[in-house]
Amino acid sequence: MKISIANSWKTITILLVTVALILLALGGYLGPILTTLSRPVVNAQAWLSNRYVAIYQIINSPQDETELRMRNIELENEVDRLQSQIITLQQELNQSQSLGALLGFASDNPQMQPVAAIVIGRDPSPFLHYLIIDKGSDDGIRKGMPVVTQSGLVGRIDAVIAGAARIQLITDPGAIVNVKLQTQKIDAQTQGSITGEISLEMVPQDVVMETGEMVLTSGLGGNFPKDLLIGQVISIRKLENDLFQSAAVQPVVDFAQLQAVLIIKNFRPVDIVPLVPVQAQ
Amino acid sequence: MLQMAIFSQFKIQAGKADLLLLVIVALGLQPEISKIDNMLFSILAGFIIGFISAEPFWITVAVYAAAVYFTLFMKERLPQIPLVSMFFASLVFMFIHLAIQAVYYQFLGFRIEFQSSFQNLILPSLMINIIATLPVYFVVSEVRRLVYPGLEEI
Repeated sequence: MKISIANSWKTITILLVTVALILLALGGYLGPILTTLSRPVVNAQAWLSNRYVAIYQIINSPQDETELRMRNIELENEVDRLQSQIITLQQELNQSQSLGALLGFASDNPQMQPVAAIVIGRDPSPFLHYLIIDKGSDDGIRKGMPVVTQSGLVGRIDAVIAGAARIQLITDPGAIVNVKLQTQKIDAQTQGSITGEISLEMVPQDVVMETGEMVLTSGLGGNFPKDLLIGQVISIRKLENDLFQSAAVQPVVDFAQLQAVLIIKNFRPVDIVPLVPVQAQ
Repeated sequence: MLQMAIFSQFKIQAGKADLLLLVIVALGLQPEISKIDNMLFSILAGFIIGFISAEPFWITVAVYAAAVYFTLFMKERLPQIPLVSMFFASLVFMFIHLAIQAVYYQFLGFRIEFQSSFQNLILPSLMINIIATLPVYFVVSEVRRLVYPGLEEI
């Protein structure tokens, strides 16, 4: 009986102490004591954990490094592959932009029946300015047909074989195009040169030319359709003693970057040689 | 094809390299290739370029044949220094080729000023050819070693 009373008191005391501790903890009175008591434990735990992590890294690091190296190589290969893909796509984009612009020109001018062709070569002679394209007589291309881009006149077909053709550019020293100025009713000629510059010739002295004036084909001579843009006057050379004045023309077409062109199929040049009067002997 | 698609776009001012002239001169300096083969190569190259280019074919055929003939002559006289022969023959015949063209186009009525063409076209073309001479010679020599390996091994 004595034992059971003593046990009851013990139980009640423990319960009271427990309740008191809980109430003190809930009231925040045990915080400093717990902090003081837990600090060494936390420090010990941190020390142990750091050592464990360090040992774990020492044991596992060679594997990680190998994996990282492998991953690095894989990623480098992937970057190389993507870079080559970007270059390919960039080239395709350039070509499609160029062809898209030509397509826009073709749909704007359906009466011209243009045929697109890719530039596949350039004349090896430095004196001459000719292009080789991938369309020939099999595609209906004939000698003398005018060649344009969405910007303006490029030249005309000079020679044709079954699967290719050669274009004489308007920058060629042998190329002469009959032209007119946009704002003035005068006829003149453009002529190419060995350096690829175009000059405007045969402009009467009394004409007042201004820089920036647009130069268009006049259609005279029957070699080119009318009103194809050639370029812009950039400088004027006028000497009082000369019969005509001349000017330098900045072409609208960038001949160095030409990748694709349009051949106007329904324009047939007129051969006016039989109409030229023969001089009496 | 390389000449038309790639080397025609490498320019210094208006000058271009004449890759085919360099190749046939380099072939002419190779030891195992016979004289007749060399002359045939040169005439064939002249015809091909003449067929593709707007330049009259007789100019390229004549210049290339003369270049190879001169190269073979140099090879006999100076067999120990083929590179010097290569430089000399390619420069001389490149100049002759361009000079003939300049005169020919003058006769055709093209507006070509001698000073302008010399400064903007002939000199830059010669410079590009000088730059391309060594690589072309070594490439042709390597190709020759692949095609005629026998004498090298002996």
